[in-house]
Amino acid sequence: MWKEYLKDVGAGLKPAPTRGKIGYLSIHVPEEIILGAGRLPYRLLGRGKPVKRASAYLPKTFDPSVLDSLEGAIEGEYSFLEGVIVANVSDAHRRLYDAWRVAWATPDRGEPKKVFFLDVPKGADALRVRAFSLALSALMREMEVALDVRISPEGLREAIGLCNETRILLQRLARLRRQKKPPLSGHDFFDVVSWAQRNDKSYVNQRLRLILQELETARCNGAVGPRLMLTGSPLGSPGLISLIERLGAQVVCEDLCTGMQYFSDLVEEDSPEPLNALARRYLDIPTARMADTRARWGYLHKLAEEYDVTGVIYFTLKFDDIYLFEYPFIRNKFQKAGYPVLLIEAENFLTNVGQIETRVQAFTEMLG
Amino acid sequence: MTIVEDQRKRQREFFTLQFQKRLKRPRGYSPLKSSQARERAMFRLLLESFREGSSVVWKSTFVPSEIIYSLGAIPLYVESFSAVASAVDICPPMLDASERCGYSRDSCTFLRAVLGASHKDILPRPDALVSTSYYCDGDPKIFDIFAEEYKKPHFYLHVPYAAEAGWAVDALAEQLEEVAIELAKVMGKPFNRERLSEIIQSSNEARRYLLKANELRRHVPSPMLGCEAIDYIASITQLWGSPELVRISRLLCEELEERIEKGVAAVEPEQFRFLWCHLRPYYNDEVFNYLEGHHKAVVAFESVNLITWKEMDPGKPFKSLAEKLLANPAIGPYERMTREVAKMVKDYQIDGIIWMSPWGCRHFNSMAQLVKDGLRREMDVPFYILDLECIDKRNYSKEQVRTRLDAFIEVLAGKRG
Ligand code: SF4
Repeated sequence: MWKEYLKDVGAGLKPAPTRGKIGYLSIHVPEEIILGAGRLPYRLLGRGKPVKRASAYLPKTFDPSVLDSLEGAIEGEYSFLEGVIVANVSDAHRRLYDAWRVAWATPDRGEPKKVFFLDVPKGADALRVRAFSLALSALMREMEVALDVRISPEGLREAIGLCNETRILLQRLARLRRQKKPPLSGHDFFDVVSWAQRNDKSYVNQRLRLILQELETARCNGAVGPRLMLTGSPLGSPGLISLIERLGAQVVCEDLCTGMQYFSDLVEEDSPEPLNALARRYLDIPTARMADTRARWGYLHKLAEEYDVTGVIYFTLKFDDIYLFEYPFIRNKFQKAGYPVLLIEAENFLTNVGQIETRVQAFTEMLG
Repeated sequence: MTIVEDQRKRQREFFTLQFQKRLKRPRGYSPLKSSQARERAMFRLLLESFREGSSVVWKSTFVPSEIIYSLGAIPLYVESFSAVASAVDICPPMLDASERCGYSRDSCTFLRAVLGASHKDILPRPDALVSTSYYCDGDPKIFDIFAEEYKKPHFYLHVPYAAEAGWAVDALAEQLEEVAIELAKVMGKPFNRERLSEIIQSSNEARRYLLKANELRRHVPSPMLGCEAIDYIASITQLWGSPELVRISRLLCEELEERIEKGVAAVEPEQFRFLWCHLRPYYNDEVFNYLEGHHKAVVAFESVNLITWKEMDPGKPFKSLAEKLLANPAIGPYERMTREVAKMVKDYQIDGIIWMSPWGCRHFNSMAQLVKDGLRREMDVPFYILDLECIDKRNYSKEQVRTRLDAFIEVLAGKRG
């Protein structure tokens, strides 16, 4: 029944209000700024289809999720957006900013849309927070001009309150998965988080409350296989999670930017400088791109303990350097802490399903 | 694990031997005295970093070595270590070691070679590490991992992407000052601003000579082979701030002037003039020898030798260093690089561009097609993206590379008619 709440109509509730949408790709982009501009933040999660035309701009040896986004832009799949914010979260993303601008400026692609850029440091200490605040205010000015709006401190505060509420509700939902028999699967959870990243926040909060009401009192039966953590590159769709769960394991927590990282921390609400508060929170997200491997390992280890996992699946997209370089270090740490790790390297969509299935199956059997 | 002096001594001896072999290798050309001096200076620096009592700071490309020299420490530019290792042919076991550790063959070999070298413990040990957000993601990530392994502090500099934005210089200057002060603490001495100012002056002097050398290289026919010039990597070398660089660059100017005066050309008769973008294969000179020796197509200039920053103000060392870093066209949107490439094409009367694209490099590879297309909108200059490895010789195929270069030369010849 609770899944009905994810549908725009039905369940006896009003549909979400419609507003202009601004797309964004990285969770280091503060949604509050988009909301402050009176627009709806819309997370681009990828199309999960082969890429053809994007290779005319960027090399094939490139983060496949970035190539996928560019392909979508070229194919006109994002023409419903008023603009998109690309953040400097990786080499691939910052080049995507160039390619996307070129692609959208091509005359036969209709009215050119605005491609905004946000520079994001990899550190979260005072100087890097200051640099990020400056980058955020540059983005805000650019958006104000392009969209002909004013983003006021009050507007930002209101948006912070709204987004914090979403985070708190999603945190509550995630905690349900600590139970011995979680009331929702990893696949379901992924769907909820994706949906929350693409819909009006008040509407999302209202429905999340209803979902929680139902799931917090639900009694769950049935056997649960090995409890796994999924970590690594962004996943645009729940395909891999479904595959794992079909084989009898359960993904009970995921360190993914399309999963629990999205609501990892709250933004300080009563800060006299809302922009600084945003800068601090958005640099505190423990993603692999940040240059603080110790903090990241601490976060991953804590997550594994809190969710009582028995093994870890580390997923990397091909050519996604951040994860390719991080993997051996994190694997060693997990193994030393007693957690078996399985590496899965794949394209943006699962092509070598048979092979992945065999490996996951062997892994889950080994975990017993 | 503490490395004892005996081991360091053996490492030094090993590298000395390799270096001597390298200096004695047969070359297809007779190098300038300045180029030989540069090569010796680089090796001396490496050997110094193994010496007991040396303070060593590992740095990535964009970290200004001027700050490290001002603290009496030695900069170990890790990507450059990989290049040296490749040149003395010790890279394959380093790369194998990194792969055994689980590092992907799809990622950058400059970085993987260092990871392998660290695993084999053949690197000078760091007292501290400093990385930057440019050029690429790999650097801060592996520096952080090294810091954990060596139990030494890692300082990270965020170089703003919006290099031309009003706030970028101050935001970077503040970070540079912070890093200088923190490094001084690690070295156990107070930070000496006067010393940094002196080093900035020395850096300025070398800059003036290298700018002049770049001017002299506009001469047709070219007075210098790209094969030796590319090793100067004037835009990013760790010799900036060292007295050696002043001596080397002064000597380079003298030698180039002399060659021009005497009418000595690097290749005769000069058929084509190339601009080479990005780095080179370090494991052999074959590509350059083939272009410059066989085809008489000189590499007249290289993007890595471009000097885009203005003279620094010794009274404002951090602001000046920030401006120096931010002047690098590889930062920011691709249009900045396209602009500089177009300028180099005009300045050096270039017939064709070779943009080297190693498989694992996301930063330069990703720009290649965009710069190529951007340039096409401005000028008609053939542009070839050459997929070739810088460090790893294991998949190198001489015939394949030659065939591709032949095809490109044919395009140039056809254009000339
Ligand atoms: S070659 Fe490319 S990926 Fe490798 S260190 Fe240099 S910029 Fe980074």
